[in-house]
Amino acid sequence: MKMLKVFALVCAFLFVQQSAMAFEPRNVLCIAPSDPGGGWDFTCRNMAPILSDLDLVKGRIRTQNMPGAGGGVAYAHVVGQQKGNANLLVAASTATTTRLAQKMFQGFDADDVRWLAALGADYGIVAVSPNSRFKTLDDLVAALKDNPAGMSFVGGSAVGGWDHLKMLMLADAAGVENLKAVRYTSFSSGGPAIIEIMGGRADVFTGDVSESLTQLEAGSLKVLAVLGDARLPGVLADVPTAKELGYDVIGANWRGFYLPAGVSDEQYAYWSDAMKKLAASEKFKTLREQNGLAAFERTGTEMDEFVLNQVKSLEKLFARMGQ
Amino acid sequence: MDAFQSLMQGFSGALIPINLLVVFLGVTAGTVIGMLPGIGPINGIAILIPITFALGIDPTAMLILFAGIYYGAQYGNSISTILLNVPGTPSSVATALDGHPMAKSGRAGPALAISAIASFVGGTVAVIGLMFLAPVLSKWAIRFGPAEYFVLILFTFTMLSALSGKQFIKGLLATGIGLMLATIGIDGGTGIPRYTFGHLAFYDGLDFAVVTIGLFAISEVFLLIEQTQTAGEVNTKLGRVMVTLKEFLSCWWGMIRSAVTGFLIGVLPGAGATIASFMAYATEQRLVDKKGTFGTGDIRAVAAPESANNAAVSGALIPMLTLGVPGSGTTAVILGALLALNLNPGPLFIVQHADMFWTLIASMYIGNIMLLVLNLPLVGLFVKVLLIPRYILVPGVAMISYGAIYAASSSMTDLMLMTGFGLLGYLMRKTDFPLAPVILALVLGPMMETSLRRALSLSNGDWGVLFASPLVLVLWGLVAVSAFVPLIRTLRRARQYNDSEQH
Amino acid sequence: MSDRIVAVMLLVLALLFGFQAWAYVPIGFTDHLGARVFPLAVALFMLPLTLVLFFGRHVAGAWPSARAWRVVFLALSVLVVYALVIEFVGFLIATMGVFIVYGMLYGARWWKTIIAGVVASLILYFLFVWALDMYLPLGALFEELL
Repeated sequence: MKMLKVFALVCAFLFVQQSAMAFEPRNVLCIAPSDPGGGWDFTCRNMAPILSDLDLVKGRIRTQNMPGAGGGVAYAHVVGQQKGNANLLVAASTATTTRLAQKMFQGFDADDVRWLAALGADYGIVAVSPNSRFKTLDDLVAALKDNPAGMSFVGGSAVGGWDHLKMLMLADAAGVENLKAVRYTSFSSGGPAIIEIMGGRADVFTGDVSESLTQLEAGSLKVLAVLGDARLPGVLADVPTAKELGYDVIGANWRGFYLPAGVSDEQYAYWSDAMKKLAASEKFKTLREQNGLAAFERTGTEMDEFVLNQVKSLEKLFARMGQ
Repeated sequence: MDAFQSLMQGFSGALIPINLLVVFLGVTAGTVIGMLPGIGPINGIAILIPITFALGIDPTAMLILFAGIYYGAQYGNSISTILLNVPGTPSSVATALDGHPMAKSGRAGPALAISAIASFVGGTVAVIGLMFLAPVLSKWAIRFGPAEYFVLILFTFTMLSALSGKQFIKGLLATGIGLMLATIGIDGGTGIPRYTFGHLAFYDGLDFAVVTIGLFAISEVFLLIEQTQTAGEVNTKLGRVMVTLKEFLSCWWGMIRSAVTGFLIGVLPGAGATIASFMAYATEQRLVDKKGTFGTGDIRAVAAPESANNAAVSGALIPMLTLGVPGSGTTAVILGALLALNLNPGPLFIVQHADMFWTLIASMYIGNIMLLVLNLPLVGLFVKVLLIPRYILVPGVAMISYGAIYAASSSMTDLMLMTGFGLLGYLMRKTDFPLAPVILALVLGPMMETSLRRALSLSNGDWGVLFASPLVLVLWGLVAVSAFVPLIRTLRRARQYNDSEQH
Repeated sequence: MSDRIVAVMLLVLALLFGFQAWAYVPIGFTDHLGARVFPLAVALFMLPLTLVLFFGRHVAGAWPSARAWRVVFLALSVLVVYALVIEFVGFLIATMGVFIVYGMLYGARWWKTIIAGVVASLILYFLFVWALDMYLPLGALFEELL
């Protein structure tokens, strides 16, 4: 008898649960399109679990590493085989959109997935050695206009990658005509590129804030401008934005997630709401700040629009380069 | 004296029970992770970071834990390399050259023991170097530009003849094959995908672990499978477990030399343990291998690369701690963790966080000692792996490799590639092609190309940059010596031969 | 003889590699060396070496017997099948399958191979998924049970 009662209660409970919250993610998997240790791996292993801590997702979120083609392998997998799977998050960043704009994902486009959220951003910087001949961004731009090939830029991404693009956007905003002439040397990550600046072999570094924090604090790098909407707190509080100086360049390397296409609007709404709550949580804010990321929040349809626009404008820039 | 006092303070920080426990855990976990081919310290640490954060471990303990995993893994990898010929990373390939032949001839015990001792020596020399030379060496790392890297890699290639044994031409051809494989993937300088045939899976190039494990471990599986059919049960001798004093002494100076080489190369960001171990192997071969026993199971040829790769691993901490620039994938992950803890490694780190720096140094000493103390007695146990029946051991080796690679990449293509490289390795062994040059070329090829292109790009096309600094000229000198000395020696020998003919 | 065959194969490979390299002309950005110099240099490095191998002195190699070849081929096929089915049947079953077939190749008792397969696959699964927090597929079958 007692057993029956319990059973009835459980049934009722389950029913109520069902109707109150029609969609509830279970056995959530987060695909990190990189090896363990990369930036996307960080997004999956550190950001996503906060969803469980906040009880927005029941149970643990597992991470699946799927490296290859700068996220292309995972993108193809999600578009091709995970359609409609609402229990799957995929880590993404500006690197993903850059490659989409270059059509490097085998014909897949930015609207083949549902963009969910950006939860933080690493702003770009224009940095030089402290004893550089360029004292201000204006010095640099003047020299660049005068002779586009007269200085060497370095960064931690391949040609056509994000660090290269920031340099191109800057040169473009400065009115440099022959963008192809500007010299950019690619390194495997920000660190070795910074060493070239410190060793005096290269002139300008167009990396991101987080990868150069230690050098900034020690004064072995000097930042001419931050590529953000507004000034950043901390060490960079005195550094002007490019926008302030009259060059409309924003270089925000955002970190976030996308979902497979084919998830229902209801599921999409659930996730974007969850992401909003995640972004507002104290735990997340601490994590974000610890990792040198600035606040940058786009969720749901706003994110979708933002990404599609970003891809479009990058496509235009690449078209100008004949790429 | 100052350093000594700080170090003592560091020891008092590191020797508290909880930190000792952490060192122990780190070293043990590292050894286990290292024994699994294809996982490696980088994955191990990356995966552990969120867990340690969740547990709220204090920064010092965390750093100690990571350092423990870091070189525990390097040693763990030698165990599977020596016993089973399964180097999980390119940096253990040089150890396989003589380590596995030693195991095959019933000397697995001494091979493992000398590997533990050499790791200890390499690690200790490097820690001493780290202690006294960190600030000086960070300058050396900064002066090393793309042009210097290019010539350094050329130098490594000229040393390579050592790895080919008697099959010199085949060694060069194997190098060529490695260089070809190295070209696969998107070219960083132009964005063009090369030899990818439109497959996304090839865009990032071939995974070192996939090629290394395929060529060595999977081909070993095929060889073992084949042998049971022709020769019946393989006779496994275990032999003695420890090294003799005589063996130890024969390795001593080689270990010291290799530790210094390994440490200096490890300091260079990006060069790393692979170059260090091959360089040490080649140097020792030229210096001490009078009878041509290298490659057939010479204990000195196990000691040298083991000492070098452990020293390199510690050396790689220098650019991370003093410049804030990681010298290897693993240090990049550790750097990330430090930043997350609000510790900014960099020029000010040693000053601002002196206590942590010295605790780290002290914990590295302790870790090294613990690695030795833990592993020497265990050698006898590890060796017993060889007694596992073949019908379990052989599929076991295959499945550990396949499981590890799949867990890290979720890629069927990687498994297929690994099988393909297994077949290639099998055929190469059957036709007497050495395998090691393939791996070395695969690692060095892209570095050689990109550093040349970076040098030219930074100099705006001026080839003079390759001769522009004193450092680069010294390196050219080394290239010349290592390329011509063997040539002259051969010529002189030929003349002596002719002379004696005439008499 | 085998060396001659290998030499011809490598010669053809190097030629194909070199010809393909010729096509790598960048359309957008480029640097001073470009994308094709390095692969061309590799091809040029290989060509004379293949000729030396072809005309050089040869030692007769010991090739495995036809039966050994069959066993190796079987061992290889099992691994290919493993890669093809792991996503579908899951890590545990695929791994057990390899243990059983390899055990048979070694002539071990069938029940021993099954025990070895079950124990080893569970240990490995535990190690990778639980201890190291990595991902291995459970397969469609087990996925349903959860």
